[in-house]
Amino acid sequence: MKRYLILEDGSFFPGIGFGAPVITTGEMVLNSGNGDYTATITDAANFGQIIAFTDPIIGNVGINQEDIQSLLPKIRGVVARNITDVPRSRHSQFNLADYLKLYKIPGITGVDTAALSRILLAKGPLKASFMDTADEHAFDQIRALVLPHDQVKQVSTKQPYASPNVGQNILVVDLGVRHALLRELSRRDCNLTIVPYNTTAKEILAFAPDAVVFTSGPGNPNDALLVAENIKELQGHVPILGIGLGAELIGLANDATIGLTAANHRGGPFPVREVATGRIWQTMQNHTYGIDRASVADTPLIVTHEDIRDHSVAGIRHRQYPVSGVLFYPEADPEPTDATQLIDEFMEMVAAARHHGEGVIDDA
Amino acid sequence: MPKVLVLGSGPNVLGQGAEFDKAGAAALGALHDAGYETIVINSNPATVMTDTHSADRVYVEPVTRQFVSQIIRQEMPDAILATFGGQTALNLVMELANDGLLSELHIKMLGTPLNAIEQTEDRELFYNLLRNLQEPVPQATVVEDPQDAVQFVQRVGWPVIVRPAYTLGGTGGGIAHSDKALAAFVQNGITLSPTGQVAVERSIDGYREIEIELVRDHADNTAVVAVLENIDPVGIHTGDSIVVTPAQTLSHTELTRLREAAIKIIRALEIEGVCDVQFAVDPNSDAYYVIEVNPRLGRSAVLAETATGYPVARVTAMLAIGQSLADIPLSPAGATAPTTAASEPVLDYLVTKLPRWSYQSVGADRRIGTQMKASGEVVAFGRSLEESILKAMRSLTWDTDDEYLNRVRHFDDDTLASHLIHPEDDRLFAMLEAMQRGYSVSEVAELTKIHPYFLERLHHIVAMLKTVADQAGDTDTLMAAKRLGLSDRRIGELWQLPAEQVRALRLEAKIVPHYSVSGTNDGNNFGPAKLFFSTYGEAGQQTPMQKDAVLVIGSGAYQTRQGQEFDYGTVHALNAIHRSGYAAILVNCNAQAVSTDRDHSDRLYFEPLTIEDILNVVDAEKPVGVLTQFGGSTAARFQTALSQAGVKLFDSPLTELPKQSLKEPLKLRGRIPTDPAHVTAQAAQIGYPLWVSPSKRHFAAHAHFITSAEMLAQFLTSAHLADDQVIRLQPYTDGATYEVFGLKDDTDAYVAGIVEHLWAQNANVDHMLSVFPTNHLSAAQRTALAQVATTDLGQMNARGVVQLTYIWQRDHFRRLYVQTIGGGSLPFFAKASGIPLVELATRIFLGNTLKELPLPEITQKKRQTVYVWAPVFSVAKLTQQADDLNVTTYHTGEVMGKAGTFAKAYYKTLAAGNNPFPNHGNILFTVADSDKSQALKLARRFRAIGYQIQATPHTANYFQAHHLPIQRIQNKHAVALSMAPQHNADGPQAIVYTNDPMDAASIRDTVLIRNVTLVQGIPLFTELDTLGALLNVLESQRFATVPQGAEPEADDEDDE
Repeated sequence: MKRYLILEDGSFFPGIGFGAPVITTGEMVLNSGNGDYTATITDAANFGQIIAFTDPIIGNVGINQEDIQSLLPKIRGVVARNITDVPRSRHSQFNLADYLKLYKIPGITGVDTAALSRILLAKGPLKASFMDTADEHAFDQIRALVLPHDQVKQVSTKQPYASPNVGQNILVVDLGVRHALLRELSRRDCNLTIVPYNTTAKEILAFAPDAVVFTSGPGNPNDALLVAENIKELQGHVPILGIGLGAELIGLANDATIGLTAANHRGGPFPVREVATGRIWQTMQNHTYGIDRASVADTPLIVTHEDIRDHSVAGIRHRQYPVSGVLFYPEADPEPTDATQLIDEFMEMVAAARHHGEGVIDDA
Repeated sequence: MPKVLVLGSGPNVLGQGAEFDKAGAAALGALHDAGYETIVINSNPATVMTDTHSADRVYVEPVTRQFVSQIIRQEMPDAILATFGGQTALNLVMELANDGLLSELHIKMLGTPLNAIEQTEDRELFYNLLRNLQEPVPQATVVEDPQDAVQFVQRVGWPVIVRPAYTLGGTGGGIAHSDKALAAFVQNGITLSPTGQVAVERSIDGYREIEIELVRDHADNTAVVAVLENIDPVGIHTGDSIVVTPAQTLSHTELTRLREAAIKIIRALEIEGVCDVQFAVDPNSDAYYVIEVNPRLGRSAVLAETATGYPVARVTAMLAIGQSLADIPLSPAGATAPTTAASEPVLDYLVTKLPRWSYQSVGADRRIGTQMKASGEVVAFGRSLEESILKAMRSLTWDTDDEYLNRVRHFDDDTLASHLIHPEDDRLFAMLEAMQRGYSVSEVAELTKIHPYFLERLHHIVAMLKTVADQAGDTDTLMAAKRLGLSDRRIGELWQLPAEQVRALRLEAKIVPHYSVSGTNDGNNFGPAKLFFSTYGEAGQQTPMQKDAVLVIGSGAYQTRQGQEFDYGTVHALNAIHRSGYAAILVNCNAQAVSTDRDHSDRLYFEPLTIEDILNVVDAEKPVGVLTQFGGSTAARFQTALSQAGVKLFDSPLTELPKQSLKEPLKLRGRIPTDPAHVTAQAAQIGYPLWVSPSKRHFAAHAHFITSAEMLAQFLTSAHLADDQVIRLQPYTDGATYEVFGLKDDTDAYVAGIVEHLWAQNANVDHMLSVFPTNHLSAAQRTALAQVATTDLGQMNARGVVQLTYIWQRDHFRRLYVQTIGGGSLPFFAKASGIPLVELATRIFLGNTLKELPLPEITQKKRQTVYVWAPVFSVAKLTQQADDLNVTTYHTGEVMGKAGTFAKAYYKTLAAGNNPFPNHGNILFTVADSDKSQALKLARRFRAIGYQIQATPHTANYFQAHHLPIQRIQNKHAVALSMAPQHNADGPQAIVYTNDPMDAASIRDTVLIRNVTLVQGIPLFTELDTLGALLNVLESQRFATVPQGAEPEADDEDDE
């Protein structure tokens, strides 16, 4: 079935529909990586977005539980050059097309994704739509599209739930949590409580956590100021780790400003340098917004990690409190595990803080 | 300024080829840019790294302990870099370290630590390393005795894989399913391994095979350059496997696991540079094994560089001198988000590598396995896997493609099934044929052990073929077929139209390819955007060049008769075009070729070498002209079609003398039909004995030695020649041929020099020794030959480099053939004479006349230095063909030796070809009556320095009569047999052979001995003067050890 991908800048691409045969509209972002489409499709940080894959073939290993990052796919559409079916196997419980169809997500394949990625690299995210025709009406519809501002609310858990274990009490504020993070924390015996995004600082402290993790998630951090306020209240009382959106919100909570990044930060592996040691980590990333580096100077934050390509902020730490954040995904599996060391360091810090009492370190 | 010595890899052999020149040349450039003084040693004259300007000092000398040690003491470098010289350089640097030379002179080893070489080559240490890292290895043991291998098999069961330590390309190894095979592999492996060690592993046949290429800097940072997946499962050497990148059947979790293992390994080995880690991954579980680690740059790294654009060789050189990944800038200045060597490439296209086999490299046994047989490879880019596979298939050059298709089409069902189970070089074609005959994906997967994912892609191609066949003339179908990667030719077959008509239909419907630049759409930028590939239905990124462009057609995959020596010309032509102010554009499909390094062209089209793909590039770039001269016969065959298409050819093809772009005898009009009467008449005209070879293009391998009309008649009736087949007749002549290198413009001719080819005409070994300046011509003869050649050149309408070959017959030079496709001895001549023939020719093509060019005068004075060229054969890889007179043996590599005398230069070529003149052992004499007294004196001198003498009956009688103790060898066939490798110690280490005026039997013997000696690497002397000169070299190398009272007799001094 011939379909069209239509962009707000007036360009359009013909392709073949797959997945669910529905019309879709949303913000389109690029994803450059080889072989991690399952994680991308199921990453809540991509909620509501249409993903344009630079990977020349997706679907080639089907959908498997190991790579999945949330129970349900959260995206609005998939754009690809080729999709392939594979026979069912231990690693492939679903075909990509069937999986998308099941969750009523449309896809469009056979697209000149090379040209498309050049547009997205130059212009950043664009509003886009899958239509059956490419007429002026379609463009009007896209222009009229109002992007949502409550993505975090939509992806966050509605109720707190527990993932009991025998180690540290870690409270995870779900802004769009990835399974890989929960897996890494479980691997370290953490006793996890996962709570909704709007859980207040008081409620959080009532769980008496050893540390709080603000997860990655979708959208512009400025749409989640509520969470930033909570962070502001919490820091100094409990160790905090932020990942992706969580890190950006730590930035906001400490008066750094947020902007669009220059280079592509969706996909990977992308090289990141740990400022203190010079060590390079190959990281998976998935963020459109970043912390404005110049603005960090006037805050109590220091830059701990930087992206080697555009020198953008990849990690921050509070000068005073045990509060840190990284814009990449430090959780391993399915990402390169170079960066899991960071989770180890966080756990050490939590242990030290608990030893110190009250979760406060006066001079970090 | 620190001084670095870079070791080259020496002559090409199967499994270690031109890719090392490509990488080495790039590394030398990087080191020079970083302010290092560079020295390079390589004995291979066809390399670009041995061009005078490639390094501060270039030594074309043997890459052996003796010569390299001497150069090290001469140059006293601060550091040595072995990463770019393949297995040869790694093994050599180990020897130098063990000798204590490196520590004595405080020479630092860069890049790969010795420890890493030991731990990856010594299987025992290798297993220990991986066990310590908790990385899985297959159950394995290291044995030095076949009996131990048997015990191991009793424990783990059949089959097992045998790997000799420190050998190249799996030489001598294999998969054993039986006691007999095991014993053979182990015995063979123990012989071939420098350490006499063989590893025996439980076979993991049928697993997926994944290779990870990664780099590491001194601060322990790493970047993965590429993950390559072999479509062929474990059990087929990766050099013989179809390889794709990015990997296709690994989930992200699986991939991460392998990445981590590779990173762990490169860190443990402390490599500052590139490393290749090979994995076997169970298709049915999470299990994987590390099967091999190469702590150096290799074929796969060069493939990764081409596929991703990440300049592996340059980065490896920078890492070796201590730079950090993040401090090596790769993107052109001014990029918004600069790319450094720390960035990992992410592809938005697929790259497929297909091995290119030659009959000569595969041998009679076409099955492929753990021992590499491919002579070269092709690489194709596509935006789908189907597209890249189809483009790779036709990159093999179209007649090979056709030949394979025809072959598999004629298989009966049983044969086809057996080809699926026991893979041969035609396997890709056999799988497609099977699916066309209705085999399902799962059936083919069952038989081939290939992952169904890949078979689904092939099935998609088969389905498209059917659609095309059903929808003749339909434009939408045409577009779909082109987008999937089918050629006009293949579509034309299905539509029963000539390819030209399909092209016309296509152009009418505006279905034309657009060109993408590799490696930029992920936001990374690994260097100037130069590598383009075609795809249909996409916008592409090609923009018009700012200046007039010249298109150069490359020579494609390396084949045994068309190797690096052709690419040498391509590289130099590109550079000359660029320097002349034009944009130099290359079309080629060989990632190993130096010409496909980005530094050598302004734009590189990585496209199949077919007329369709070339014309598409011409349409897109609109070059002012096309150059085919240096692309071998691959490029030459497009001349007619390009002219017909109205494309300007700079090197107009020879038209006055038919088929001269191929190596044909002038007087015979080349190939003749197999009509017996006609052949017999032609043969009578030439005279007996002669060579007859049925021509079958790619597989033209059989040259039959015919001594009489009766024998010819018998051959013609028994040879099963097809009616339309053609055969070639070539006269047998003894003695040397003389190759004149000339230049030609529209009016004038210039003779640059003469190379002498010893024994060139009488062997079915494709090349014997060459020497420059000529050894056997008087000054008057040289002048006469130059005159003859100048006259001949004047009568040809060729332009550029012309190579004319003559023999001396009694009182005149007889013309043999003319060649205008470059290659052959061209690099040797250019290196030896110092005349940049290719550059000069290119300037003629671009409009200069000979009068305007700085041409050196050909000197009559004898030059001070003698250059000897010798072929190198991949002996161990080739089946025992040499003693079969009816099979031509082809060399895979070449070496050059230079010295003050022929003997010394020859001695060097022996050393460089890894067959140094032995220090002791048997010297076999079989000489003509007239030579016997001189031979006796030489034999005595050999005895005096500790050699043993063997002789055939007549010579033996003479020697014994003169009281020289000898060992008697029955006859010349026995001689040949005694040279077989298993008789190494007892057989002759060198042969002295001269013969009486010819009769058929003696010619046969001559040919036999020449073939066997050359292929087995045994020094052969056919002139006693040369032997005497070499003996002087040997004697001067040692002190006389003479017992009291037995000083040499005076008669030894008499004859001088």
